[in-house]
Amino acid sequence: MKGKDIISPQCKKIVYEICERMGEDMTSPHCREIMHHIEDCPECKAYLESLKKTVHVYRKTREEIPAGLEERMMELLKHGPGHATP
Amino acid sequence: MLKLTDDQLALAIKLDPATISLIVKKTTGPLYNLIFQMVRNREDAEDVLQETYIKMYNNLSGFRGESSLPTWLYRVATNAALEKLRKISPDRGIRDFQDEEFQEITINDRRALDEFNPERMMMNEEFKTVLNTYLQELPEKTRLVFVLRDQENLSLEEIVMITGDSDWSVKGRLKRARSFLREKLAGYLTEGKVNYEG
Ligand SMILES: [Zn+2]
Repeated sequence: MKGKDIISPQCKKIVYEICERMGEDMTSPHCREIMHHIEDCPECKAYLESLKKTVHVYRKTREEIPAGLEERMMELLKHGPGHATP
Repeated sequence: MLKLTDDQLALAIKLDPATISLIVKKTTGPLYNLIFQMVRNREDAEDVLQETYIKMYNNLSGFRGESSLPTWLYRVATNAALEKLRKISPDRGIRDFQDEEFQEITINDRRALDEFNPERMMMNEEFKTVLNTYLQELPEKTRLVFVLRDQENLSLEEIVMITGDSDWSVKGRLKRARSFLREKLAGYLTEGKVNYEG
């Protein structure tokens, strides 16, 4: 059964750090401590994985460029914008 | 998104047409995504992008390279997008994470995404709509930081330069954005499971 899980104050602190630092350089002594905890704590490890998956899907939901947009922008600047602006 | 050599930058500052075209070609995609995620409709997004390039054109001759050209362009686009938002809904203002719902980071079911397969789910159009709805729920400045960091892959230092906000507030917004979206996604997937079983 999935739902709320009991979380220790230490894990809570780790989760906050994960949310802030994921994707940054994790080689500082402080970050090594975080990584140590994650290695030994399956729940925090799962949280980190879930956050990675979240970011991953959002990377794939970037908005596509509408057809012809690039060309319209180039045209706008071709002779200087003074000519094209309303 | 764009790297210019010193020679190319010199040509850009002289408004050399071929170099301007190159800049537009390389930056339209990233800038359009950023602007769209802020204003959330195509017409306004195109307006803001146009405004961004006009400002670029008119100000390039004064560009002294305090930041890189892409960072500078992102900053122009960000300001223009926020300006547009203020115009679209002047009464509401620009929301930030002071809103009480974003004060606390909630942590529900750390294993909720254990079996979640991103590749398979991304083929589902309904799921993409759901993702966009959650992203839109983020207050504007929080969404801005998330888009710049996690969609556009910019560094925290660059985001500080683009937004003009402190390192501390950029990190705070990023933390809240990520945890908020993760909770939403976890809730959606757990609910989905209940529905399948019921
Ligand atoms: Zn833990």
